[in-house]
Amino acid sequence: MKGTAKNIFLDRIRAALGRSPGQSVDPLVVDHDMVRPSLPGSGDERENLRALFVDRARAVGMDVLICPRAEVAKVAVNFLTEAAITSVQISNDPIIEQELVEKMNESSIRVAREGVELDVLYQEIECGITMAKAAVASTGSVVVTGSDQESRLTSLVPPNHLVLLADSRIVEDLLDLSISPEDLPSCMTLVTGPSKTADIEGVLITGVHGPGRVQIVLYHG
Amino acid sequence: MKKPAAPPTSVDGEPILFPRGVHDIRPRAQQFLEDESLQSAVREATTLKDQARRDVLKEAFGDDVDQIRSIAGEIKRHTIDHLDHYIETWIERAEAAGTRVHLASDHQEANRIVVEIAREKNVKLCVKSKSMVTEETHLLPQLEAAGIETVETDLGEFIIQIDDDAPSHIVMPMIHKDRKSVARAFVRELGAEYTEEPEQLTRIAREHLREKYRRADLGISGGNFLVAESGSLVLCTNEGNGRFCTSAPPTHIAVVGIEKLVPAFKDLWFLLHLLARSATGQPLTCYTQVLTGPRRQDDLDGPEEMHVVLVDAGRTRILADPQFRESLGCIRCGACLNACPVYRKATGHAYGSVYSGPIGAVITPLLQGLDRNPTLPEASSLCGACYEACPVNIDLPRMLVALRRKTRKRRGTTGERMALWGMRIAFSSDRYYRFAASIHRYLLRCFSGGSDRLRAAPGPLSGWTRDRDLILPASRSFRKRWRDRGGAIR
Ligand code: SF4
Repeated sequence: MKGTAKNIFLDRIRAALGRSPGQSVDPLVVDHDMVRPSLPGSGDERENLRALFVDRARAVGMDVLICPRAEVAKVAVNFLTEAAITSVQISNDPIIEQELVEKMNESSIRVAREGVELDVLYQEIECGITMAKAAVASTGSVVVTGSDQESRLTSLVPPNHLVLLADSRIVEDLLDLSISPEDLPSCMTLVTGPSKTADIEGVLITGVHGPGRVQIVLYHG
Repeated sequence: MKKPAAPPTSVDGEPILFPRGVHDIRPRAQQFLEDESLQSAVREATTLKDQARRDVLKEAFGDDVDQIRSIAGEIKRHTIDHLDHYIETWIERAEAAGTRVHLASDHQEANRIVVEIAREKNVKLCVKSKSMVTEETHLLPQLEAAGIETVETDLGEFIIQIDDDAPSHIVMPMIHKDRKSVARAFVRELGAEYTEEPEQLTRIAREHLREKYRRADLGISGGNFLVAESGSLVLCTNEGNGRFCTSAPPTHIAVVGIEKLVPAFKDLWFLLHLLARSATGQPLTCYTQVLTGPRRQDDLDGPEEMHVVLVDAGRTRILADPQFRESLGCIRCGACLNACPVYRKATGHAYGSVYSGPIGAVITPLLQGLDRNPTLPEASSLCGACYEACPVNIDLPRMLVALRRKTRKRRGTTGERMALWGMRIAFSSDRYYRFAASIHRYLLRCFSGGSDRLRAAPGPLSGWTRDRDLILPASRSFRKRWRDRGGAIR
């Protein structure tokens, strides 16, 4: 953008506010912590966070399965077989993928890696599998990103979305998400429920454009 | 798809949004009042959402709700008071992330910028997610005129587009339409089989639009927030079409009003805690996207170019007037519409603007001129429900009164002045007050003709009852009943 156009634009705003270029800004002092929900339960904090997350995620219409880390592949494949899903696309996140891919092959689920033809993605893939970068207990959200490991479309185009979530990644509130402004991915999405609409006479319908079903596999250990 | 030559018109023969000349809300409202199915649809939807908002806010924040609303208001007010600073910071960071920033002083410039980018990229098909600002600038006809097929992808907006209609609520755009009209439009415009099932209608739209996402070479969106500290654009959506529009096509253009800034992520999170709860009763919308520049070198997908058009179009004028500046803090949640007894009855299209309800009654005159919308500030009973509902604590009733004051150029008529003089006396002592109240009660009964409300006052007072009914006071005064129950009166 040209400097002069920007200056004219900003000058008009400054004139309206009666401010001059470079004039300092008084800090905004408010108590952001007021919006924090109070955590229910007492005792083990991790345990409580997990319980709250599961509760809230279910409340917004996502399914949650809980298992130890060693059983992720088994639980995920069980879900896929029960849902009669025969083809998936999986993000390049290396954490659990090896074992999961093997298990899916055993169950004759077709596994596509990132970067399949759009035709295939739109018409054949029934489920996108991604890793959650974080999760927020107070709102029941999982965080997915678009990056070099994960396409934006994997968690969007197929009718089902399977998210793997390590229980250590759950934070209490949005305010606790660790965000460094200089180092954000190009796309970060908080997913809080399956795709929804109530546009026609207020009737709630899931799976409008995005996935109608979001399955979370929450693992610990 | 049908390409309307002229914008869709309302009951008064004028365009639904932004009628030509001076707009009067009353004739439209009068006709909409007679429409029983419209009335019940809007009543039901707004009542439900209004209750949902109260319930979830109470559940999430207990007795702190009002304090939280006032902090949210402070965050927005602080940002608006230092808007130059935050915009400058945002532009710097956004450009560093690879976003191309454009500045538009008015509607024409905003549209021109978008059309130029589209031309340069040789765009044939554009998919668009919901954006109030592009409704405000009338972007769609401009794109179509440039030979670019443009498809609204939000289900409600899509239906409205193919049925040649206009949105009537900022969050629930087709609150005024029923499933039958959707069914007919789908048969007529998409060649679909007739069905009234919302589920099936949604499927039809889904399939139709998926094809568009794949072929589109441009995605246009609005923006809910701009985060200064990172140069990010934040989009809050439910259906997933917004994600498609910003992920699938090679170019993404966001058209955003300059007032959408927030300083930092902690402020964003704070406001997000309120936005969806106030709008639909959800903790967050299904998708909250934080977009920071186009796809990076190694990213697997995402648009190659990301453009943001910052639109002023009258906003600095509002900024310059301290009386009305706070109206720019609006986060477009729609809570004030749902809470407003006048919106519920008059319904969205009566306002003749994309912004309806109490916030529309304030900002439409401010953006377009009070002279063109002199009756909008009157469309309020000043009951204060909007102020109570607003998650950023905007004092809408105060601004409505201030706007009314601006439209009163004359002093009151002799009759009005005499009436006020009489009231001053009546309120000056306990005895006068009691006397005046009893006469008042007596006269109202006489004029009401046995009904429970006064529908037509006599003589010079008839103007007052033209647009409103007055509910009669109880037959026995409070004082009398109090005394009868043995209560003491000073
Ligand atoms: S004025 Fe307040 S209540 Fe109305 S839409 Fe804006 S933020 Fe929501």
